[in-house]
Amino acid sequence: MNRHELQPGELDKIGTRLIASSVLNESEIDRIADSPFLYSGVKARINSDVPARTNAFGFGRRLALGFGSLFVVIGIVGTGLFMLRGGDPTIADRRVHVPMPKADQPVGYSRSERGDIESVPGPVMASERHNSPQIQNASFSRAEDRNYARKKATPRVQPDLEFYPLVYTGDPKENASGGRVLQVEMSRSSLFAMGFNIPIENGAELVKADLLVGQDGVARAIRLH
Amino acid sequence: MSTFPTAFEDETLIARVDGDAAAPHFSAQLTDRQLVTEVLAGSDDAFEQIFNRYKRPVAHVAARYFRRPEQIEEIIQISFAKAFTELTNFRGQHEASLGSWLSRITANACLDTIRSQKRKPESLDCDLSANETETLLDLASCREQNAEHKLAVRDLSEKLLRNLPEDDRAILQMLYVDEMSVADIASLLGWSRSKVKIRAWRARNSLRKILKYYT
Repeated sequence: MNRHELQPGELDKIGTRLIASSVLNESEIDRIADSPFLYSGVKARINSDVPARTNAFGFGRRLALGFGSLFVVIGIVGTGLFMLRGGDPTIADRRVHVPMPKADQPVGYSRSERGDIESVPGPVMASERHNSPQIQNASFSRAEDRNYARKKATPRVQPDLEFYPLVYTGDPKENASGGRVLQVEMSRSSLFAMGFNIPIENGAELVKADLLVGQDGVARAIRLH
Repeated sequence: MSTFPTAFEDETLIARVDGDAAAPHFSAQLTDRQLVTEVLAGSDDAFEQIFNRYKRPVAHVAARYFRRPEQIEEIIQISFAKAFTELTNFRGQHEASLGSWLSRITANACLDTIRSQKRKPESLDCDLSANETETLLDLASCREQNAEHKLAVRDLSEKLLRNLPEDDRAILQMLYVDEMSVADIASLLGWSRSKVKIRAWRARNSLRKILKYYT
């Protein structure tokens, strides 16, 4: 559509004149400025703005903001410590010394002390090794931590049982040292032979049990599921 | 001809505003700083006095960015409301006059409003009639214009300048119509001089493109 080739100077001149012609003149501006409801509009805006500004920085909001910031800081620090702890090799290799139960009394462990003994393949469960204070030579890694956390997130009903000591006349030092927990299935008759006073009508029936085994491989205590 | 900053210093303008007698408790002799002190002490009348003293200069600034009366009124209200809430800052931090402080608030309010509207310039999809093109080309000459021609030019400018962003138009108006210096514009908008020059150069190029398209 370029029918006229205008120089930049001419275009600027036209543009300036166009802009000048679009400018409101004094009388128009005066008419706007003298609008009767202009000041009342200003007052209305002030009245609506001032409470909002006051509230925005009121004591309650500041308090909430402070607490919120505090929680965020605590969360960040906690997360950092947790990650630091999980990645620390000295902690990962830490061994837990667990005193063995004495032979003359049943040992009752609280649920938190027992930990979650799950049916994990192998004689020693990772979660048990990690969590249970009865276990000596327990070591745990970050992966085990994650497994443990995952399992803990899905709670299972655990029988509220106690370890019962088995008759043992070994080295007294062994009594004070730790051991491992083995999950086994034993026949009723075997349990009866170990000294449990249980009916043996169904002698071949298998019963799930946890054996607390010392470092010498001898069972020290048992608990039934 | 310069309407800024002389508009703020125009004694006749201020005297005419003071003649509105909207605030009987304050005489026209009270200085801006005294009025500000009164407002900070809780006086509504003092604020009304400030409003009446500076509503026209503020309207002048707003009129550079907007053309519709209701838009200008809204900018005036926003600017004075903001000035009221920020008045403590004026007393403590600003050595500039109340007028220039208000003008900066107004300019910023205009830019904020333009930004919030996020309106893009309209596309160059309308054609000009032969008469309109002739009128446009006549602007390059220095011929005296009669009232009818002025009206036609105004209509034409409304049509063409819709394609130019408001802030660009405002800068060009300040530079070429109000004949403000780069330093004055920088002071008004709180920009650096380099930024003003760059924005003016871009605005001029945009306007040239628009005019080239239609001529």
